[in-house]
Amino acid sequence: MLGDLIALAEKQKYRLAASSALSIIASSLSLLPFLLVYWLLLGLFHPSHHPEDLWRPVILLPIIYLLSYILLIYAYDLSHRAAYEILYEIRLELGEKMTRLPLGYFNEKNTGEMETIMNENVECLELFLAHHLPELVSVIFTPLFLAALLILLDWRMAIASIFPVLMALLIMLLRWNKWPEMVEKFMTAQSKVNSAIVEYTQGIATIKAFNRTAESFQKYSRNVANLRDLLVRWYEETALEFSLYQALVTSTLVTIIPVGIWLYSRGDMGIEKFLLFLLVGPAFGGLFTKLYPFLRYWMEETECVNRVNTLRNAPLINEGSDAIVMSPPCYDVTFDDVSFSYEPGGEQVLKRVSLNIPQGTICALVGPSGSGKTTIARLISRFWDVQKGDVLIGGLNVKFLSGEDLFSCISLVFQEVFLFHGTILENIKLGREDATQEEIIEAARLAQCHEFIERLPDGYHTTVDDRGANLSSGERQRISIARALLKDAPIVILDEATAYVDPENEALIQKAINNLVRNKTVLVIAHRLSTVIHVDQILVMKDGEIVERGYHEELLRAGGLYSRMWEAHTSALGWGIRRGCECSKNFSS
Amino acid sequence: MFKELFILAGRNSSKLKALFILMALRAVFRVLPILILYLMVLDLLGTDTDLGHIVLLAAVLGIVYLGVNIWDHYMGIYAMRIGCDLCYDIRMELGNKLRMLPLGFFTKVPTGELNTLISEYVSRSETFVLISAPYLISSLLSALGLMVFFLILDWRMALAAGSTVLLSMSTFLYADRISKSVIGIREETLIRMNSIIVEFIQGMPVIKIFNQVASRFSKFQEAVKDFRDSNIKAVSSMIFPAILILTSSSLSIIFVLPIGLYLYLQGSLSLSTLAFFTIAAPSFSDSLSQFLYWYMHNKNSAGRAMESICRVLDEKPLHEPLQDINLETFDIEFADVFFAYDVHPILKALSFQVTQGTICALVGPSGSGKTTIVNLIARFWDVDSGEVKIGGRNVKDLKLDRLLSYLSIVSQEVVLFDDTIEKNIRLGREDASREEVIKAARLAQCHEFVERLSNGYDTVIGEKGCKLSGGERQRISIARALLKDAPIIILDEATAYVDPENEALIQKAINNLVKDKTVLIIAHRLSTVVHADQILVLKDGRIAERGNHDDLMGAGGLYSRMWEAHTSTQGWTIEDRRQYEAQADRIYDSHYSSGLNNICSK
Repeated sequence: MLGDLIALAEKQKYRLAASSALSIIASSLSLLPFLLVYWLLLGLFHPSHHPEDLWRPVILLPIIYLLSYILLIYAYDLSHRAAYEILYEIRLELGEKMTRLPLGYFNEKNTGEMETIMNENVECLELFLAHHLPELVSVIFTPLFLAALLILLDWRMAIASIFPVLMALLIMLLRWNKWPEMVEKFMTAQSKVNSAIVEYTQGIATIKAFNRTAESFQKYSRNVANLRDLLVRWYEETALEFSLYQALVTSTLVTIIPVGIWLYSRGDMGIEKFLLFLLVGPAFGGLFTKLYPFLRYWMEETECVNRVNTLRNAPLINEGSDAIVMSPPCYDVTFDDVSFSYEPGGEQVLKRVSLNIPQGTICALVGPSGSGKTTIARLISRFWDVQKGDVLIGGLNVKFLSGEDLFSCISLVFQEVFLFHGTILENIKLGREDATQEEIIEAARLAQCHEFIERLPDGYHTTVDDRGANLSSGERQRISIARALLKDAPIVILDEATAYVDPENEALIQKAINNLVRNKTVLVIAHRLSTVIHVDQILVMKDGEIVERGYHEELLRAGGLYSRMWEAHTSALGWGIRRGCECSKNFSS
Repeated sequence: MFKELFILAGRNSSKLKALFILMALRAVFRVLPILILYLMVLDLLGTDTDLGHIVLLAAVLGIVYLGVNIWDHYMGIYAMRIGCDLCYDIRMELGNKLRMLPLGFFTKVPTGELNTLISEYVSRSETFVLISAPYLISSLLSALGLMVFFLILDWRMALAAGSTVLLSMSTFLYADRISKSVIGIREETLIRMNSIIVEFIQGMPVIKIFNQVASRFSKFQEAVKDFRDSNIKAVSSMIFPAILILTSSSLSIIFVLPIGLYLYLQGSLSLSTLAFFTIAAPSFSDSLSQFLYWYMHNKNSAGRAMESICRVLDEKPLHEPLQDINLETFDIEFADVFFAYDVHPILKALSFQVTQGTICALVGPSGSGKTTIVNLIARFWDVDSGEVKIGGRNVKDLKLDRLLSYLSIVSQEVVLFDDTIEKNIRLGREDASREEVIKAARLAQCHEFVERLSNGYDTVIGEKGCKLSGGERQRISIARALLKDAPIIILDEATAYVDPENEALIQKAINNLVKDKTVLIIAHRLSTVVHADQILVLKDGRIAERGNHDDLMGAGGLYSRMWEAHTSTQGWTIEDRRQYEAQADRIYDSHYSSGLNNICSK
């Protein structure tokens, strides 16, 4: 915990050390005024021959103050610079790490977490490095120095000043172990409220449609009430010790005055010392009031460091470190006895799957959802590594190909299209960096995009906003196909559902897809059986296994799962919405 | 800042006032020890020191401290409760307010910003109420209290101590100006960095697949570097102002001592007073600088946050009538409706009628206004001119809750909540019994798959229902609508195609849903609405053609052309290979002969 925080600081150790040094000096300087006041009081109560002497402490005072402030501010400047450098490097490190994570890691849940870590959690470190680390120094050293000073001045009065503070610290230590638990509960409650809120705003249209006031949107109100109760309860539970702590550190005078009176009345101590302690006593106690919140923030920060470190330590995909940089000799795709589960030791999503897609042929995967079709498609592009068996392209295991070589053979066309914030031209150009304008437009034509792009106000230079919201889903899909066309990779993996992402433009997307798959090795994840009846090979999947394989007529003749699926499919085709009729009507009638 | 606080406090404002009065009293108590200290100093330095008197004062001091701390303890708990209640109320009020706002508000404000408002801004307000406001008030009042006391003691010294106030405030204003501009730049680089990070992470698969790693990474690096640099600049610009502020707030000591010394040496100031001011001035300066620090710290963050919250609470909700009217009939009518989201008109002089109990289909290209019509019926927006009527009454004349109770909307985008399946279905009708929920699920063809889940109806759906397939989520949404049993169904027909593998089931569910209802359906696939009672063909915001399928086919216009185009897509297959059959044969042969993994099964 502490070790992790220190390890971070290592990167900028010179700056941070300098900052701490300045901080210590500034803290020590800030104690000097007390000595100056003492000097002044001495002068006042034991008038000497040179009244001008009295002016010396008074003149020195602002100088000392100014000096200590300058040093303090520079200490902060240094620590902040150090902090920002460290944050910069950590973010770069994390970013670089992400480029080497298995692609399968980038699902919705994980990307959300990663975003939070990169943005908020790393930012939280700034608080620690720029503020609390230098403050740590002054929080520890200043009281120590002051205590030393007090003891030097008058050890008896010093004890009177220090005693209440020690009691306060003792109380805090006794209850110290409850803190981590409470901070954790608090942070969890807070994040629950935040996710309830996100759900609420994203579902607002549904909430309006179903007429639910905020109270009856129970989850939201429940979590908000929970947070409130937690805070109140936390405070109530710790109120007593907090109040005692506060009472003790602010009431140093209660011990100082009696002791002072006793000593002074016995003639054992000068008036100026008494007066001085009246000033310094509360100041000493006051130094400790900052300790309490400081420690609480410390806990939140260590939690942030933990989260940052989980990402730093995430398992990487070993991208062909022993790779022989080469391209595969041919582009048939083979699975050799592959078994795969998402979690090691978890449920097997693929069980001993073997298949072969010869170069230049089209293979369709059909089967119910969850049967493993999408998994196979993803394993070809090494979204994850398989536990057993081999995934081969042109006879080469994908593990031995470098990322670049692997991805340059494959084009993926899935339902989710990711477009970058940039122009349409730039987005299509992702397919091939060195493509000419003509080549890009040709790809757009083949992908049936050219017409709608030309109709846009800025044509190819129209900016796509970062979730492509200014384009319809069909248009985005066709841009993604244009990208893949431009790339012209020999293997195409296609989710057929893309074809009817935009029912009004189905014909266009269908045309684009046909252009894309010409003369390639194609793997199609099929949903609608009628679209894949002419492919070279159909693999029927169920529960992670290939249960039937062949081409359409063959499988129909076999009378197994496929033919049953085909029956169900053709009967669904002719459906129409019709009042009072539960049956589906055949299309042709 | 405080003005907004009281607005937000709403019905808690009297409690808040009470709290502030208590804090004011506390500030008075904080001054008492200083007073006692003064008396003690007087005594000590006086001509005949009465020890007993000093001891008495010390005892009184002890009691005062005890009192103050007990007061603090209970006041702290009280303040905490009020603060937490306040925050709870703010959150709930915001939640309710959002429900009442027209949907247009949500498109105006990006979701990210809205979420920031409700979570981050409310917590900032929370922190302000619970922690900062008390400090602010108490330090301000302490400084004031001390100043009053100083004035009573010796107006010249008081002036010396108080002179710093003016100076501090001017340095503060100066620092604030600088801070605002550098923080502004910093916020910009932060937003840019955040969005580049999001794009980098979410686009990683695409980045890798298209081998864009190097260029994307350098873009990422640049944004992170800019952020770092703007932060460093912000800090270094504040060096001088910060020194100024610190110095000016401790000036009270710097002025008080020289002036006091001068006066004393002149003989117009007593030793005890000088001694007292030497001890007390730091307290004053401390309180003042604390106040300034907290004020500056909060003005730009908590202040802004509370302002934003107040602005949302101020937004005009949809206008609702006072009277609650019930409808008897449920035909839908649009009379001469004009509507635009902002500038570009979507609907122009649109008029149509849907008789109760009939099915009306809306067809047309995207952007022709189909979804807009639905939004207007549900009053997600209000029309610019014309009328939208249900059962003969303008929808604006119905209470919002009442209007929505007559509608069931089933759209492509299903929103399910992180709760049990039963609760999600029950969103349709809160007071439905378990049997009714199950019955709706059966009709919606959900019952089988729900029963197969680990906890059946009590299984919790993951956030955004991600553990269910698209078709399963759609059927839950239909079950919800079935349970609600509203007389008008508004359906986006694309729901039927969300899950091609389960089409038949969803189709069955939809048919159950629309039985005996008034139905408005947004159609994409013409063959499914062939049997609708009325088809409205939309183009450029107007109704180009209307009638049933046979009428429209007979008319030979836009509809019949759309129909032609539609039927031609139905027979699509991927790369009809019939023309390449010879090639296919060769491929099969090569498979069998090369002994590679075969195509044949069994």
